[in-house]
Amino acid sequence: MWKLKLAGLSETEQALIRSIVRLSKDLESSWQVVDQGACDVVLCGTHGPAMVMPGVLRIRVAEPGEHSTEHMHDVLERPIRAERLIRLLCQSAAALTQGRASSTPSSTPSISSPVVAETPAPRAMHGSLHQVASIGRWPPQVVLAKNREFIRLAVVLARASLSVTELSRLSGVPMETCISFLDALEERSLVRWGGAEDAIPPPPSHLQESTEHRHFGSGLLGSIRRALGI
Amino acid sequence: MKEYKILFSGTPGAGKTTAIGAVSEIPPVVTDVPNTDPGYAKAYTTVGLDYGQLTLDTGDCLRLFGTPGQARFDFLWRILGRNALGLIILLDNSRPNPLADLEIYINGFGEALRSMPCVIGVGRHDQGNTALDDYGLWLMERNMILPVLPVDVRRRADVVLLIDVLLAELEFHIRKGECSHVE
Ligand SMILES: Nc1nc2c(ncn2[C@@H]2O[C@H](COP(=O)(O)OP(=O)(O)O)[C@@H](O)[C@H]2O)c(=O)[nH]1
Ligand SMILES: [Mg+2]
Repeated sequence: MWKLKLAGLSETEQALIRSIVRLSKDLESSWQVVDQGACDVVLCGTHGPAMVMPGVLRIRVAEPGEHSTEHMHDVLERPIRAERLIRLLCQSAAALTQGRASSTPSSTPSISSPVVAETPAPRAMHGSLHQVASIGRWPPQVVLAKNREFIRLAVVLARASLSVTELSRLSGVPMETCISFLDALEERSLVRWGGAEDAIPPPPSHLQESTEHRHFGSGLLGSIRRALGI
Repeated sequence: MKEYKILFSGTPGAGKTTAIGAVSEIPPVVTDVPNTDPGYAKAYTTVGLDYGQLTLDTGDCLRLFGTPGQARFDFLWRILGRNALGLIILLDNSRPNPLADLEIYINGFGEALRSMPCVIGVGRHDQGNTALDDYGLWLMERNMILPVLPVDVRRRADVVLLIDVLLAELEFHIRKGECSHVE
């Protein structure tokens, strides 16, 4: 079990990272987010520590373009994307394994060292993001509150089994929100996870473009929404 | 000009007339008469149809129909339901057994619910002994997942949210090619 410490990140980002680690079935079994004590990787924001213990990997969370002096591979760009975080953690695990097997304790392994960069992330870890979620009942009010985005996600999931990525694409709701929605459901054991074969087939392409937006730009639904002022 | 319709059904007194009035651009056309049924706490009740409308910027027209609430009119519900974009079922949580009320409408619309988007709005949700989540559980036991939202029909925003959710469902129906009468 690898230990991940978060430093200098906002509450929202911390919650998001914890959710991604918990939701990604494979990260969940190999990674643990710790608040104190020893760790293997530190994810740090602008106010995080400049130095870390030898043997500990540091990943910087940074605004796009802010990281010109750093190794690209050691940077997680904002906004935090689940796929990117998962890939970085997989690469970190591979780097740590290699580093500990082959080097002296004082040398710090680097994620971006050529040998590691070529190591593909384990398939299952990418696969977990493509697992499809479905629900068996309308979510309880404590989850939905009066959150329009959550309600919209529930409407979509009530009719289809989708991966987090597809759910975000089809609903037009940001990935982060989809993850916290699924996380809230998962906490209450209200999500079923299935393989990719359980997913609904992609919609016909001529409609795809318009459904990627929150509203139909034109067409009937858009005109009704405009008439209602939404 | 094309015409589309959204149907409001549900328990007498739950707020069909009020909800249609909240969003219609014309004063709702109402056919209420004095209530003779002591089971419903209101002086007037809908026996015929409620009607309201919205003109769309495409020049098309969205008609809002309120069905008679009483179960003896269920033949009318199905006729009105034909080709509707969707159905909003309004329930009154302060009634003695609102889940039994829900059953009346679920059964009454029957097969139509398979192809027609439907949203359930629960009024007076702070009253009565039925929790909002009980509606979702009741539906789950029947293998159905329908959106259940608390609503105060006197608030336009609540009514708009119900329609918005209905449209979100419709978006999905259209994508899956289930909605042949749209566009
Ligand atoms: N106090 C209160 N009144 C409500 C609430 N919801 C609806 N009403 C009232 O209940 C009545 C509903 O009547 P109406 O719209 O004619 O119901 P219909 O028979 O379904 O058409 C209206 O007078 C509403 O103002 C609520 O949550 N609280
Ligand atoms: Mg009425």
